[in-house]
Amino acid sequence: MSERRWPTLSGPVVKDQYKVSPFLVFYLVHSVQVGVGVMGFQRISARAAGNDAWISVFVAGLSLHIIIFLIYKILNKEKGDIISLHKNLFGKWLGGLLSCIVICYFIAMSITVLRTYIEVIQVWIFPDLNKWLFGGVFLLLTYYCLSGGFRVVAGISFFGVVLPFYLVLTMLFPIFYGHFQDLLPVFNHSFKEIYEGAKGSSLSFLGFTTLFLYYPFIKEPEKSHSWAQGGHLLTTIMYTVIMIVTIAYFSTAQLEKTIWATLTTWKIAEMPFVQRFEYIGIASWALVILPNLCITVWAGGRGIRRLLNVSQRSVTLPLLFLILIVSSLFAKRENIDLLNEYTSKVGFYFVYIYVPLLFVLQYVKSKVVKAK
Amino acid sequence: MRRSFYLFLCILLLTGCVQQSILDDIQMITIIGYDLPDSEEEDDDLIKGIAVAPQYHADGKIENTVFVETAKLSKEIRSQYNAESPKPIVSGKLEIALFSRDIAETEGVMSLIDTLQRDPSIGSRVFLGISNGDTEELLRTNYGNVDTGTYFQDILKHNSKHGMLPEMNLHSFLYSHFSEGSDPFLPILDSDGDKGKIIGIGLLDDGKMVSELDAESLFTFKILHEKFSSNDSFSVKIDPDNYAAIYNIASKRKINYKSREENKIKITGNILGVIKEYSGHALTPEALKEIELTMEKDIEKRGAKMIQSFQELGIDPLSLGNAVRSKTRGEFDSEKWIEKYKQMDISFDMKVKITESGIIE
Repeated sequence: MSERRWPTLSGPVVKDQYKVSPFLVFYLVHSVQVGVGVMGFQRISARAAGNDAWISVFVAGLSLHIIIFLIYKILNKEKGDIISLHKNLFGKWLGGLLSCIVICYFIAMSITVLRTYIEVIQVWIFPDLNKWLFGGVFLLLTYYCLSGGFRVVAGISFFGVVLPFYLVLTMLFPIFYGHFQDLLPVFNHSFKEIYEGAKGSSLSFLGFTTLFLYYPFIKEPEKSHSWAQGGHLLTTIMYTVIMIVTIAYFSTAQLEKTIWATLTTWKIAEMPFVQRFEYIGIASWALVILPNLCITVWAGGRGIRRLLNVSQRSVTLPLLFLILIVSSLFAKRENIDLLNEYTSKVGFYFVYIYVPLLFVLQYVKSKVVKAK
Repeated sequence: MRRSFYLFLCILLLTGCVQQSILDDIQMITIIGYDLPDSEEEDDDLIKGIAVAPQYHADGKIENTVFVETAKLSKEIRSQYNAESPKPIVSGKLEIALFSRDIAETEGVMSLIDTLQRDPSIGSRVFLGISNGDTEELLRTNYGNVDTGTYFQDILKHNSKHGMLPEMNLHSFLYSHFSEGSDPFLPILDSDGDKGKIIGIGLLDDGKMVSELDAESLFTFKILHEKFSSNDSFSVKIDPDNYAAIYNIASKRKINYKSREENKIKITGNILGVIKEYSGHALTPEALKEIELTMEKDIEKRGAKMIQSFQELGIDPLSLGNAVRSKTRGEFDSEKWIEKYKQMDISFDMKVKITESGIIE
């Protein structure tokens, strides 16, 4: 990456050779959303919204289409990323501080993803797995992908969607044991309960805000809007279907006890060549987790690189070390649960409050500048 | 060069990190049974666990090794098995778990099911059952050159798929147990010489067995419980020396809740069947009609009696509560429902249609 310093007030300039096609945004958005959240988001939603939790998930998904629309409105106007936007709106210091928070959020996301995945492996497959060793090797792989630059990250996210997509078919097994009358009566919960359920499902939708950083890397970025909406739509449909199957498969009190509902439904899968499908499913999940880590770590590194004007390569390695150390510090289930809860809470407010706020501020500022 | 270095590093680091489980070096339990310990003077909390692990020999012989231990927690029992086993014991291949009648009637099965549900290596398709007599004897019996766990699993599997036994595995059991309007049941197994046998089902309430149905009632119960098709036949006695055997093709149940506000539910069963055996002379349309009517009456009578006893016990193995819940707006109170259920007027109406009478007239 070039070391030239860009003028501070305009957006960053990315050379054409580093840019990716607009359709890859479909995979970038979808793959960063589908991560550790989908393994167990059902319980959190169902706790509040019961058998209407699928409505919560669907509503949460639909509302985020509007947020993606706002993100594109902001970025199309800015022609840059969130770092330049912050600088333009809030000035060097306050803008820089806000950028720091956003960067920390992305890094926290990557820590959450890595630690939760390691926890799943420890609980489900290898109780004596060394989290340092596995985390180290996995981050080494992430480093390898990141050292190829953003184009490789986009490629990885393409494979992270296409290769494990067959896992969708495993949702057929629980359907045979489904009690679909459990979905009735529909709309039996108050709006508040459905809202709480939607809030609970938000972690599984998060991550697409990385758009704020890779936007300048898209060729003809305006054209990628529909691809981003498409990627998110796929996530929404997928989650709603998973939620419907889960409600039909489990009884309410049983679901509340089940930490990883999606993984537990795999226990019913029976195939002639494999007794326990979870082993294959969780192993395949590494392909889903890898783009997740790559995109969030890349976004964090990119943010730091833009903020401090250093080369991204020199940032990545210390960043990965930090992620390894912090993620390994979380040892107990409750702590990991807390980490998940806080990340999703921060993400929830970032998406639903901060993004609309940015949109309004940018609009007001452009009016003011014009008036002058 | 650098890439191959990373690759080398990965290969070096990723091997041997975790404990291996090579198939030849482990003992796989296929069936586990729980019973109360024999001696009375010991601590009451103790549980006797009997596990059977098959050994497959090169000449095709299968040898069942039986482990018996007594401890407080079922996982503690497992570590005791390990002490007497030459190879580490794993539970990933568990096919069936049995509880003795004593446990089911006194302590209940939930504390033992907890470990099955908590252990990620145990599948949701594990069958559960109640052993009628001494569990240890049931599991020690040699049922021929088969692995005992697979043997019992096969009995339960084909009987619930094609026979009169409603399907009940670990997942469906937990579903019913935790569900607001449903109570689970478990098949009761016993040994008959060198064979295993299903002798009925035990009905559970809150994890404890409160009542049971014999094997003859299973057909009626299954009609009331679910939609199914089976290969078993049902015999109808038309008069003292005239009977017919009806091979059931398909059965559907329908529940009518229209008047649930007046505390009335109507269950309708619909059977399509084929005559397999008839002791009379000629199978005239009149005779067919009579067979249909007799069968309808017979099943209705048994069904009504069954439903009445469920209501008296306050158990709901037919998941009527779930069905009513799905039609009720607002909060569903399962306590109130059970009270209501006990007073409910549940009628049972049966329709039998004989479609064929075999290849002779």
